[in-house]
Amino acid sequence: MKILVVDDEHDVKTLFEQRFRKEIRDGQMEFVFAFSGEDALVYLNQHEHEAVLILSDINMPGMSGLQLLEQIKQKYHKPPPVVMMITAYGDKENYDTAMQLGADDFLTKPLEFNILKEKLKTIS
Amino acid sequence: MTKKKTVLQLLLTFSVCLLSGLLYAQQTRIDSIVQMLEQSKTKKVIDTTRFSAVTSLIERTLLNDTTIAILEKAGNGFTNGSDEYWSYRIKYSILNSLIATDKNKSLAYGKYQLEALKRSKTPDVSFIISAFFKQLRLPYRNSNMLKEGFQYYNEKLRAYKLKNDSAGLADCYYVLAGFYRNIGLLDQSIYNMKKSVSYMAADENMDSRYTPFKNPIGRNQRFNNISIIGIYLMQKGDYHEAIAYTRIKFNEDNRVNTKSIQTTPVTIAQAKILSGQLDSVMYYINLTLNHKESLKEPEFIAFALQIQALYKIKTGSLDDANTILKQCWQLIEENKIQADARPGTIAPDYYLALLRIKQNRIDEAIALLTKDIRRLKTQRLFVLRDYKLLAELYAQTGKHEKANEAYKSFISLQDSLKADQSKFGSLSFETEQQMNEKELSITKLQGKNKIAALTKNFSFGIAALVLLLAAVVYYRFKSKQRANKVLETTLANLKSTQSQLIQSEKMASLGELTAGIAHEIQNPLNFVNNFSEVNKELLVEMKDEIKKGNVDEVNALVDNVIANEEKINHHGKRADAIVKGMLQHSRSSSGVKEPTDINALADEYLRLSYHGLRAKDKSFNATMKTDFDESIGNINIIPQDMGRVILNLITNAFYVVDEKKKSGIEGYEPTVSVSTKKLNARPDDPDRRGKVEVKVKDNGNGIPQKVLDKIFQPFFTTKPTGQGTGLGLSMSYDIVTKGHGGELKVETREGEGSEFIVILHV
Repeated sequence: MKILVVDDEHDVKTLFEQRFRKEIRDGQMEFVFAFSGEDALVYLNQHEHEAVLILSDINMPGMSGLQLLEQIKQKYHKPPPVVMMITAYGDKENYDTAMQLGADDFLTKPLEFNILKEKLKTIS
Repeated sequence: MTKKKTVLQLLLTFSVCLLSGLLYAQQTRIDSIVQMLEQSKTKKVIDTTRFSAVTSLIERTLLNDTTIAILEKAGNGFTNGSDEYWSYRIKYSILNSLIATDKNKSLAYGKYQLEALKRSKTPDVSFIISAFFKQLRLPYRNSNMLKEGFQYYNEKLRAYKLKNDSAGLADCYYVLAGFYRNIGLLDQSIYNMKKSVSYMAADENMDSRYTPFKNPIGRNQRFNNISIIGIYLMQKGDYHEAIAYTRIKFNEDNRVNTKSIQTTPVTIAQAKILSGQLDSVMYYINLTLNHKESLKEPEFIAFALQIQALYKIKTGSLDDANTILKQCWQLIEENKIQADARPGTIAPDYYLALLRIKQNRIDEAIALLTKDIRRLKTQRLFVLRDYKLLAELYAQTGKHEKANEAYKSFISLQDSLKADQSKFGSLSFETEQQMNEKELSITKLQGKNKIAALTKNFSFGIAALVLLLAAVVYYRFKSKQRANKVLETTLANLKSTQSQLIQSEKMASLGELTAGIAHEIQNPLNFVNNFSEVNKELLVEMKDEIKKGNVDEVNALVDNVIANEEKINHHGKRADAIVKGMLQHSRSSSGVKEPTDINALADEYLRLSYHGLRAKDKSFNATMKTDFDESIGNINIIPQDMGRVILNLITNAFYVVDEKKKSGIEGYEPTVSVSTKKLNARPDDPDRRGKVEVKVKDNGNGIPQKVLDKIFQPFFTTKPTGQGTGLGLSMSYDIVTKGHGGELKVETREGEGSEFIVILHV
């Protein structure tokens, strides 16, 4: 399974690579990273035929995670890929907007990787 | 009669006795009060000591309609001339008893007595009216009925103003001053108390010797109010002025050789300590501690002891401070002294916390502050002080969640104060304005009447003409005088409104920040939590590899663990900086320049501002760019103040780019850049060398030429009503130019954007 992680903080890359090191080593999961919503869209454009699962932050400079979500779900891919939002801003308004825009899940930071792993396993 | 029956009867009697025991105790108390009163009546001269014992007994007794009637009847025996005073003394004690037990009833009773008093022929009845009238402030104040209280006293204020009743006006202003203090508007309370004083006389003969019925505009009350102004000023942090006002009362007490114990010396001592003048502090404190009546007045001693302890803390005698505060607590417990005591607020735990901080026993200090907050509960200004310190201590010890909690309590309390302020803040201002308008129209009418009358008598010829001239001159003089008075009041009101606005400007930007912070802190915590869990796993793996003797693998794991530890540390510090940044912003400026990393400061406020706005408006978005000159190092600035400036500039920039974006320009990318630079000398400006420049740039619509020269003026804002105070830039300008001797400039091109440039001399 290929997973695209979108977050403006670069340490997120190291973190995911370490927390999923076993899964990466065993070839169960493959991670690619984009550090902005714009970069994520570029990647998705270039890899249109790839099945990708997207984990996206919400608060990012430039295009926000919610805008990215909207683009993916409503204007972009058919059939749209699974998009899970991961944010420090877990307030109701944020949650409702994400759900309205078609997010498949909504997780808050600090992230519980055990829960995330479970969810990813059930999806794949 | 059998034995059994007798036992039953005895039992029955016993239980009836038990049941009625409580009522009976109350009844005997009333009986003995009545008895004591009847005895006093038979004496030719009333034994005042005995009488005050009776009144204080009444004040501590739970009363109902029946017992009130009994007491009033007993009190009515004193009806010979000035003896009627004593019957009102009883009623006053009944009022006080009701205030302590039943607020609504006490209001009804007090107002009823006020009506009755208006018809009384007792000499000096105005003194008695004043005491009853002022006492009604307590039920309003202590029962969350400030709104009704403001209404009641403002209505009375209007009525007294029309009647030109100095005593009534002095009383109203006195009560309103206290109300304003309760909601934290110290400028308003100082203004009102000064107004109250302005209606009073310094004439010695005007005082009454009967406490509590004193001349409301007599010398005694006048100096009392002056000393209260001193206390308000101290709470405001205006120590120098506070000492000046308190000294007026202090000198007066010395002049008339007051026998009773006073708080004035302790207030002076406290203001001296807080303003850093540590000389002769103990002289003042000892005046109270060694007072002849000190044994009779434990409240005053407890009050003085906490200030003595503060002095010991400041001078480094920590063990002494410890002993003194223990002594203070002992007095409080022995005498059941309330936090809101007669001489002022008594809160030894706050001072004990200060001591523990000095001793670096932070955890104990935290516990003490928590306890102090519980004890002070309704004294909001003091509780605010405690929460602030508490948040700082939590942050200092790395308990950021707790710090956040304390900070939230601080904000919500501050909010409730602010809500009260907006509810009541302008009340008396409006009343004043209405009254002044009325006053003006009355004088105009009077003037017209005068002129009309004079014209009628014009046949009196030259003499009348002269008179008319005189009248015109007099009228002009009078109306000018009135106009001046109106101007003065308006000016004073404007000044206090202005200071309120400055405060609300600070709090508004703070509110924006805190909304973002509660969330923003989760980002670094995400890394801290997860990297530390990863490390645990890596170490378990490492153990296995060590067993296997796999040196290369072990080395690789060690490297990973080290790298992760660095990340944990980095993000921990980041969380710390977020909380510290917030606390720093809330703290009133120390006014002291300290070496500060201007890049870190600018970066922190950029992120805080961005996330604050995002938390408020989800649709808000902008690109942030930074370009920091790392060669600057630390520069000497007042970090809280300069932080505020940077925050203001950045928030404004975000606002204008957001506005432009909302206008729907195709392909527009809202961008805000913040940069710092160490400047080099230029041929035209050799002094430029070594100065530091902080630049905040936006690509908004720019500032139109016609408003460009107004943007630094106070109260100028282009934001819609209610969104901007118009103080952000003017405050920033003052901070940069007056506070730091720097420059704040703006460069703008219409349609392209603006650059605000701060230049600091290092």
